[in-house]
Amino acid sequence: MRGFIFFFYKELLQFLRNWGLLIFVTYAFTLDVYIAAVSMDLSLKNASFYVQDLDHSPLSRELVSKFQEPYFSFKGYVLDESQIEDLLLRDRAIGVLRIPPHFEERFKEGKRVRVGVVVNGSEASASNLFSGYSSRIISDFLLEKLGYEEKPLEVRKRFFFNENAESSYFMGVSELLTVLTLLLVILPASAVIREKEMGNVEMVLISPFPTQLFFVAKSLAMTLVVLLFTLLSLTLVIKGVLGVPFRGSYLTFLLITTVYAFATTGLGMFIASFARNMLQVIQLTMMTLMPMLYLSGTWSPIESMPEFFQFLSLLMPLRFYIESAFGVIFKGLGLGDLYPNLLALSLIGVLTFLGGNFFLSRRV
Amino acid sequence: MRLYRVKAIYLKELKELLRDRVSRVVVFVVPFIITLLFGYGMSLDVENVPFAVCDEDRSAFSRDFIQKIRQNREFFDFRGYTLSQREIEKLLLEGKVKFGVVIPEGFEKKLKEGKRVYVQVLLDGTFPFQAEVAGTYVDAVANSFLLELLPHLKELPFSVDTRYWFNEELRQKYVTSSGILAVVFTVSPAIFTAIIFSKERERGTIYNIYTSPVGRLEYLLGKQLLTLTVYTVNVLFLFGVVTLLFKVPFRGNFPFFFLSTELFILTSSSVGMLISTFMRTQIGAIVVTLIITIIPAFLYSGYLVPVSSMGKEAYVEAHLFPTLYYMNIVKGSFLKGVSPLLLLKDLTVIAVFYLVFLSLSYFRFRKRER
Repeated sequence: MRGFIFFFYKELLQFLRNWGLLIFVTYAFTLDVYIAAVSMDLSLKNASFYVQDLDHSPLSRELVSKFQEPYFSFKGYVLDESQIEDLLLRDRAIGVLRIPPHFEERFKEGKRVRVGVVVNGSEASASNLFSGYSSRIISDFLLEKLGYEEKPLEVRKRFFFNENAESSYFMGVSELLTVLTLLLVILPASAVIREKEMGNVEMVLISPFPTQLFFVAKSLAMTLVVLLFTLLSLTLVIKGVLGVPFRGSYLTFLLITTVYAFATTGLGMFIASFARNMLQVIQLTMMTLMPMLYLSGTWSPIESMPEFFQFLSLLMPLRFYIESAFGVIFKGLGLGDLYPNLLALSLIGVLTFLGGNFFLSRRV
Repeated sequence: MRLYRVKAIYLKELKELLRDRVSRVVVFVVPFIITLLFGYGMSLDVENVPFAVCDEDRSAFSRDFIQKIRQNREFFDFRGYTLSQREIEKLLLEGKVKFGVVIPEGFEKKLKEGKRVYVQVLLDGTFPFQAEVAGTYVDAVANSFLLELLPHLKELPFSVDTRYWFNEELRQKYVTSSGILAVVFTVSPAIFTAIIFSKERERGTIYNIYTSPVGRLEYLLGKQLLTLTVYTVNVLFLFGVVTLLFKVPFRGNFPFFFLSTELFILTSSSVGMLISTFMRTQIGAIVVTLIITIIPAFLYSGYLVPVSSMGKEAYVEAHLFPTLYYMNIVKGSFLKGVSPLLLLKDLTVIAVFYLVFLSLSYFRFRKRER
């Protein structure tokens, strides 16, 4: 036991003395989470648009004035088709609004008018929302002009768990979970590889200290590091700077994270047993983690995936974790609601942790 | 500079890679997996969203309305009726449905009398983007339902014509899967190059180079050539994946696209090269390269957030990194079919970036320890 504590302490010390790594881990848990939360905004914000107004009437100008910030940002008028093409080819605009000649005149006479919206389909999320928002604005505006002051049927939306549908909340938490997973795999694996590359493993092999325990000490030390940083990120960045309403309890969150950590560091040990150098560690980690992160619904919701992927996602320990983590943070779920997930996670966790460590000590 | 020395370095690196059993496979598999995942995964198309309905009115109108939502099989996945709004809230909490529609009592009666009614939509805001898009769809359904109801408005005196350029059916998959090429070719060659440079330093084999007649430029170019070789295979393969598997139309000029991609790979590889001249360890070089490349590649390249709607700072920042220019070439070649002449400007900028990074690395790299 003394030997175990000594190795545990040695790992922590080694981590703290490696300035580069320490700075990186701090960066990943703080600034990186913050940047991802603030800039990965998929909602429609300041979408640049131009107007081709062939009518120049008060009505057409009033219509344009309905396209307001923060969703839209009016950039100017264009005259002809070739200008529209040029704008869209150069990605200067998300869309162009086209108002036909005699728009006001015809509309007042009750004749049919066609308002055109040209959308730049080469933008990822903005194009979809741009077309949805703009056609709604146009029809609401013209309906109102027709005398329907109040629409008889109105849809009232209420967002639960994230009342303003604030995208930074989701992005921040999602990035934290990604970072946490990545480091739970990479830190223990690289700690093992370092010993392998330097030839220190041989010294442990011939020492009376059991080799398995040597690796367990490593993974536990790294788990502790990640947990501490997670707590830091949760309180400082997620709750502090981003202002995410943390509805559940920190204790529950840390408990499920700990259980999850066993499963993930186990994976790191598997990788460490195959890899011979850092290049391989990085590549193998990317190869296993990216699909895991995706399939677990960290980035996009599971039900929108192809069916085969949905089935695969049931096998991922991460999925149970992500569900519970979002549940604790946004919905305020407690252990009472989450125990099936926690049970599944502990089972997978214990198995991979023991398996990974056993496999690793067999292979060195 | 002697070409045969460049060749010697190149062959040495190639052999080293071929003898590394894991790496020689993995360098090709990782870019493939990333492209696959983002092609399918970053899919921003909202599909199969599970929902439930609480119909407090149980009238012909309300059934009609629900039917209208259910018809959109592609977007929505109807999971059943609930008796109360509470039940919907419970389903949301358990994550069984992503939104619920509540149709109030008197829905039909009020509509017939011309009074105002509200349909409530309760959405799970955990995934804000999905929630917002789903909400917009329900809005659209309500709109068309309303228009059919108002008899004298059957022939609406106006219409909105929406046309999508470059992507006629607005498949987000086209944008996300072709755009990921720019991200992959920024990050992955940079890391690969950073590793092959810092490895020699960490292991001490760099002293062989110090004492050999190999010149600085020869050494740098020899290693870059290996990156180029590995990624040329990847470029061709991933091009196949994007065009054949994701069926993204390629409307540009292939030789031009290929050459620009090769030049871009050299550029991102020299980012990794430059970084590794500052770092002593492999893990340090990898980590710094990751930090420096991933954020501009995802966020400031116009991949997810349009450059035209960026704030001033982000807009400037986006132009300081080569990925944005390459993204223009990717979008121009895949979706837009822009002629190479228009893209020549972007290519020139990439070339300038390459020369700057290469000469900086040349000055940073010394054949002796500092």
